[in-house]
Amino acid sequence: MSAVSASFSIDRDSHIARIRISRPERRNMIDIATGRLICDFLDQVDDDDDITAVLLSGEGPDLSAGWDVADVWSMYIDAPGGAVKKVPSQRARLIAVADNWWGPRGLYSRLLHCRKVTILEAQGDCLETGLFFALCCDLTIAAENARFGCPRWHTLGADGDLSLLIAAVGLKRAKDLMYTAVPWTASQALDYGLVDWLVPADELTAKAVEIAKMCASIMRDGIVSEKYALFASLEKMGVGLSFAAATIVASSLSNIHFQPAEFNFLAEVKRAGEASAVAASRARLDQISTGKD
Amino acid sequence: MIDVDVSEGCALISTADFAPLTRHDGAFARALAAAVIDLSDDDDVKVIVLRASGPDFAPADQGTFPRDLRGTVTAWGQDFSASDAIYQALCFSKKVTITEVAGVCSGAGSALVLASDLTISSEDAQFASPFMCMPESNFVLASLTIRLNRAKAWAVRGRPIGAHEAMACGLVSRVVSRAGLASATQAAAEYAAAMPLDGIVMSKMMLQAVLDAHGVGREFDMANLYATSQRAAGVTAEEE
Repeated sequence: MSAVSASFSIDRDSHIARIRISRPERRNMIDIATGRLICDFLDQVDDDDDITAVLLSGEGPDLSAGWDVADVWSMYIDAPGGAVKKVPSQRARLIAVADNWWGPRGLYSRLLHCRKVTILEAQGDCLETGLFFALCCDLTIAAENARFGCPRWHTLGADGDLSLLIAAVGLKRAKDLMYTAVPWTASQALDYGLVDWLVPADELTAKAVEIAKMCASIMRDGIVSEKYALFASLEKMGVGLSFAAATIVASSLSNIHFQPAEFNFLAEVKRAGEASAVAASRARLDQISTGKD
Repeated sequence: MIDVDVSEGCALISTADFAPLTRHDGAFARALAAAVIDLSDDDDVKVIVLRASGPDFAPADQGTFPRDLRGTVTAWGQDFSASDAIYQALCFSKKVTITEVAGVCSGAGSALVLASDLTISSEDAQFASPFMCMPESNFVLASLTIRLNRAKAWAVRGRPIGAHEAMACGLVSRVVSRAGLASATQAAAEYAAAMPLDGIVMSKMMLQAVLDAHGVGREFDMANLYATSQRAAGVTAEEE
């Protein structure tokens, strides 16, 4: 991890905390260390009665292009039971996926259950982790160049929460994202209900700050009361169950068995690197679109 | 009555149209469910497409339930709402399911659309409410798909939804010209079939857990109750 993978600040005058992901050279992909830093800061923010809103954004043109597959293997190896054998055990994979992403201490659960109003500045690529930031935050302001999706699902299978996605955009649209791998434009995301405001890219931060200040003016008892009512509704919607299912599926799909004729994305990552694997996968889908062999 | 063709991971189930389901034709429903279940269990299949060879996916039909229903509601439930009946077989299939809809899509046609993963629609398609005379229609699926208030309006008013409106409210996945319908469906099927089989199956298993949490399965279980109620209402109406 670079020394400044994310920056954190608190503006006491406006009662707003800021999280800014700072890995533009990696399109703000979230590695394990950055995820933990964000969780630690949210712990601090939740315990600070002076803060009422949290702004989450990314440095550079993209919000986040996903989780950083470069350190996925070490995530499994470092989990309890992960280094016992040459290949990480299934229990290590489960623990790693839960602790870092979907479990009660994971990034998404932590963001979803923040007691402050959480506001997202979405721009450029909001893929996978970027998409789930939009689903876990209370409000999303998107730049016109933002796009939302989860292309990796097409190479492995859908391995993230579905309940929030279905609740936000509807069942059939969620399935469309699962099986066709085509990201949504910011305009589509607004139409579908994933995004709350759409603004030109150069007005994104100003609009986000405006909304954050408006939220920060709401009385604190009201905010926390509403957030706990939301948490109760999320439980009733089965979001906890869906996160648990995502943990199981994500860890299982890390061990996926490919059929002989299938594109083995994981082997391609190992053989030629992540960028090459994604490009090969994309070229294969383009062939289907254009009908070329 | 029902033809099945499998090619390169994509299975095509075709029939003249799906109106027999609206008429509560038990034999047709059993044959269609059997085809979906067989393909769902076939490791060479990743995608299942439902297509009508006639001009309409499900032509308008009066729907014989409940007035003309003969026999017990339990027997009816085995054909139309049970876990191995057509709608649950389609909804909880472990493969990607696609409905290709042209023209009139009444009653059972819309119920099939709700139960399938993706729907490719022609521009002239009209989606009638499945809730008027079909107790097996799943309102939870409708509210998850087009959202609660639209689903309520569809159920209460029964107004057919045009293809573009259906696209705008999330009921269909693509709208194309009638001439381009088959090729658009083929492209969607091939796209989905490019996914790894294990990934498709595990995704569908996770989806089923989420649908169960929302009460989709329980809503199918309630169909017999709704059918009993509708039959009683039908008998009362006949006596009046």
